[in-house]
Amino acid sequence: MSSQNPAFMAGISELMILRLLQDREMYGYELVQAIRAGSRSVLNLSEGVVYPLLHALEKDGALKSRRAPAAGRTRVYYTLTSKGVRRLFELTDEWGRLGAAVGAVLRGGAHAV
Amino acid sequence: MRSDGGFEALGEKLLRAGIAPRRVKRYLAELDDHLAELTAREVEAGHAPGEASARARAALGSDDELAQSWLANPRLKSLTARAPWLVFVAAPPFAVLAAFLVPLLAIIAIGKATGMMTGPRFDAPIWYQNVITVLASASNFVLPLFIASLLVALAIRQRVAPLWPLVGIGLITLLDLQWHVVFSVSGHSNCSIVVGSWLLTRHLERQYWQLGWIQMAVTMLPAALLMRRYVRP
Repeated sequence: MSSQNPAFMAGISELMILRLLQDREMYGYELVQAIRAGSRSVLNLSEGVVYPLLHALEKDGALKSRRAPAAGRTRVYYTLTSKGVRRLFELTDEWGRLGAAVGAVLRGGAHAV
Repeated sequence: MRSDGGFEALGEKLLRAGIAPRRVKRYLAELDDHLAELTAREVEAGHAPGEASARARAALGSDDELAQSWLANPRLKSLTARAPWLVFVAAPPFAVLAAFLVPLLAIIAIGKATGMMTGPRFDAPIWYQNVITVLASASNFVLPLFIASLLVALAIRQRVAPLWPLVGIGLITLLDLQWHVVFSVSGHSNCSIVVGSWLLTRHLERQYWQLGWIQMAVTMLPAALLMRRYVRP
């Protein structure tokens, strides 16, 4: 699924990352694994998508990062900022409305004018 | 850019695409960590270390895949990559102006602090004249050289086309030769302090031009080093 419709996937990736970081700080590998496990491997986000997105969200002020040593390597942990929380609520609302709209059309109960 | 996981080529590709060096450095560190975690998982799954390492690297994706999203996002590019004209053409005149103003302000501050400029007579002692000479020389020679070196370092670090720093250094050299700042000491009509060469329009005498040539050579030294790097990388 990760290779289909990049713009659509970017929206989902952003929502997933913000939601996961709402609970606790995490680093890249943890996020990739958590998304994979949480979606039962339906969402298989590649590392090449997750890291630039983390950097972009940090640049927007939605995330902040800190470096910490781990087994002789540098590990970068991300946490959600208040701006990130607002962004998460917006995206959740957007995706909720989109899901409801798609669901309504699929059920056949609504007809576009 | 150093990477334990062998991502140097990826780092170079991102730098050449204009991604900010600090982001590239951090990304490579994150990938190193990620690769180590994937490798550990493969080892836990029963693979030999060599095979585990190869499987982990394959799972991470090719350099092209790892670079794709970065290249598609112009917001992750550095200011130097997005607006080289701003960094290499628009900013240098302000830097040269600062290189003149800062020493001049230092000269004035010392003069005022010691009461020389506030008294009825302005008799600059030898030590103060030496301070003026040193600071004025710094503004003519050292600070422009520093600014030019900064442009070259920035261009090399961010893999910018050499034309941009060369234009910037050319601009610095011209402004360094021409610009000057005059401070008239209040209450002393015949006394003023000038920082800068003012060479192109006023001092056309040969003795001043000798100084001008030295000034040009010093300021353009980083440009020569840059060209040498491109000719013999």
